[in-house]
Amino acid sequence: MYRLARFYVRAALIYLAQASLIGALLMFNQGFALDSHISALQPVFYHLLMVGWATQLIGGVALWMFPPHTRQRPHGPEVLGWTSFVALNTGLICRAIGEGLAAWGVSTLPTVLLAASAVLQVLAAWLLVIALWPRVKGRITPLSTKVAR
Amino acid sequence: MPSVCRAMLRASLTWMLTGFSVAGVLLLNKALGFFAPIWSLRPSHVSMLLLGWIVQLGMGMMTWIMPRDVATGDRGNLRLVWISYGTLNTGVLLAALDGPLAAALGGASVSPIAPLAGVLLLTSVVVFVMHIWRRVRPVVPSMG
Repeated sequence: MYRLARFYVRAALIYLAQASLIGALLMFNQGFALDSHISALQPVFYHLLMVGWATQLIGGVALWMFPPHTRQRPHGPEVLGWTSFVALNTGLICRAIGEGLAAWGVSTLPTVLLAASAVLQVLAAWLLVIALWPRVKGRITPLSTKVAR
Repeated sequence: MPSVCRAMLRASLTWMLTGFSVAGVLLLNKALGFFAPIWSLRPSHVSMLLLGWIVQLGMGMMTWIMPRDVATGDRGNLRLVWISYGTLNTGVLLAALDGPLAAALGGASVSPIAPLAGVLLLTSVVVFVMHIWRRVRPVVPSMG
């Protein structure tokens, strides 16, 4: 497994741990009514789980396992995957902080953070799809390698 | 990678793009509050990402990498996977259109679109399980 794929999978595991922590907090809050603001973290919980964990894990495994781009550059242009990784994770962190601040009544900063999060996560999705799309194909034959050159 | 797997993986990547783009607009609207009715797209974004992206990618990957038939080396009846592909994508499309159409029609309480989407999605899953069930087994190393 090459470096970029390892980064995706490890980051996914970190989000799984974070999401579990927030999930546990939400359940404690449901049971013991700790603070009414905590329930506003539910969208953060779902997004850390589905985007941070599931989507990022899929991205990492796909970058690792999909058929090679070409024999010379099996992973294709890695800059796409790295930029997507940075944008996705920055976007998710902006989302988590923005939702948290909004729940506790902070006014302007959450707007900026949520808007930035939206743009960064859409950018990340587009870049990941651009990186993976050419690798959805059959076996590389000597002829297709020549064409790829 | 067989053509049905390529079709499923490409469709799932397309749903990922569509779902993330819709999600981005929803989040921008949450931050800036420019158009409240756009919130009716929220169930669509969930269907696109959960079923169109994640479930379909799982199905495509399973069809590609699960063990093949020991004697013939093939992947079994891939027509079932094509049926699953067609019904899943039609189902996701209908499920994605249901919310916006209902909102456009003034919140009609009875609509055949969602139940039809449900039948298609269920068909897709049942047909896919029928195909993949026998392939969930230990890999027998080839003796050749």
